[in-house]
Amino acid sequence: MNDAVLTLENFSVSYEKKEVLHEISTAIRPNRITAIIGPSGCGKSTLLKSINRMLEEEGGVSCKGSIFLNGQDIRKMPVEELRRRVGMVFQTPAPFPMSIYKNMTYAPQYYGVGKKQELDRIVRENLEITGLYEEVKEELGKSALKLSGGQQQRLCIARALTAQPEILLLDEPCSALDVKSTQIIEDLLVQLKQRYTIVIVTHNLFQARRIADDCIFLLNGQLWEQGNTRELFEAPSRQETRDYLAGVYA
Amino acid sequence: MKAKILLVKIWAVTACALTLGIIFFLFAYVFWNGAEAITWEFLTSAPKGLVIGTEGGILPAIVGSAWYTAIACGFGAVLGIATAVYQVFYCRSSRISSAISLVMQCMAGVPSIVMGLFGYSLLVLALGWGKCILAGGITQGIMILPFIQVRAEKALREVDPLLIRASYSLGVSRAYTIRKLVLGQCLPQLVSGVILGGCHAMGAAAPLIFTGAVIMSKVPKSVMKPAMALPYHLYMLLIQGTSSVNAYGTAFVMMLVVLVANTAATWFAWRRKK
Repeated sequence: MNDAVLTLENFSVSYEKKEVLHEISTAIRPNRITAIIGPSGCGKSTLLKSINRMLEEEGGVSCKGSIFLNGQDIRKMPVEELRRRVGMVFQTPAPFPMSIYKNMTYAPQYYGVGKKQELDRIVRENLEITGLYEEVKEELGKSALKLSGGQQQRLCIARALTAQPEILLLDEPCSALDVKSTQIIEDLLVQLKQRYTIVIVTHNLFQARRIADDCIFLLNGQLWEQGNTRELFEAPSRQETRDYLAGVYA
Repeated sequence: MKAKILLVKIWAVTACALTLGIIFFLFAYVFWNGAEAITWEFLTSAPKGLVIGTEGGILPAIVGSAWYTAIACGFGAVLGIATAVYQVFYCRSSRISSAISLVMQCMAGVPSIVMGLFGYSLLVLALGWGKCILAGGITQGIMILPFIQVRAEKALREVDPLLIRASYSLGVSRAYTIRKLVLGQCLPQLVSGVILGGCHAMGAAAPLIFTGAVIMSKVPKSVMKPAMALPYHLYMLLIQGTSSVNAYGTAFVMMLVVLVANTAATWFAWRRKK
């Protein structure tokens, strides 16, 4: 697959001596939503964290194989550059304990944007993308911690976008949210894929089915099956996938 | 079983009351006896008298102590906080981190008079500074370094790891994360740790005996000159046994400064929790 933005080749991860991901090979295509699904403990989050090397922040991890971002080996890239190009949103909303405005200018200031006008523009544009601007435009100086859970998560997505990434990784971004907020975020993700490539870990099969173009099914650290979401859900080719989709492992 | 619980309860309450009682008694006693020495003149003039300190005031000692403490805080804070930052954010090996902690614990256990001798042999003799405020301040700074480091490490480790990861995930460096996110979060605790360390330094005479403190000096004008210090002045007044009123007065001033600084530190840390 030449048009893949992200390619994994025989990628394995071990914690201490225990292997949690075994020789994963796959390709993630641009401007699509790829969902990583599978039962708890199958290595979904580990796989996601490998892509921006966040896994390295946890001690005792060793990796084998390679991951390529647009053909470049991510292990040969400076980690800061990789993480700028591959943004991440976490399971629990993680707004910084500062104002909404400062949350949004945190990364741009690091990348050298100093002009107030320019910063204002970045804040506005990215908040607009996530639909948060209209809700908070009067109170950008308010602490981000005072926002609702759903708003906080959208702020985190907007904040991730301020670094101008190519890929957005989301680790069960809706699992701490209510139905309404979940729906807003799902709509947002579908809209975002025009500009970004999205990889989302989810244990919610309905969610995967609703928003994902492609699915990767992991089981016991192995890539069990992958493909177009509709095909995978309607005609899984392996028995275990069928069992999982039918709720046997849940 | 019930009797046992009751016994533990009585024991705990008694111990608590006894501790508070001792502290209260100490403060009340010193304040009571020292109060008569406290006059405007006592606070603003130099010691006088045939035997130094029997007359006059303690201004040079107050200013000297402020100098020693400021240098100790500066030295201890820079090294202590930097060590803690290294341990929490940069050190990848748990062995190195444990080794640092071990060294800090050992340092915390070194008697202050030995710290004084160390400062004397290194700063006063080997570096040829002579007895001076800088040598005394740095010696005290080394003494409170582990004190500050332990508190700083604790404060840094309390920062939500999720926030730190969220910061890294934006592609910003560790240094930026520490400066913009972590230090902002921990500032009250770091400041309160340094103030408490400073109080500890202010009350310690032993590190200064060989490194900076003198019986009599003018209000210091340079850090390369020796200066009086409150605890050392107190010590001299007591061993001369000539003026117990002024000794109590000196102790009064010292304890008041420490009390105020401690309260400020507690308030500072508390404000963050709010």
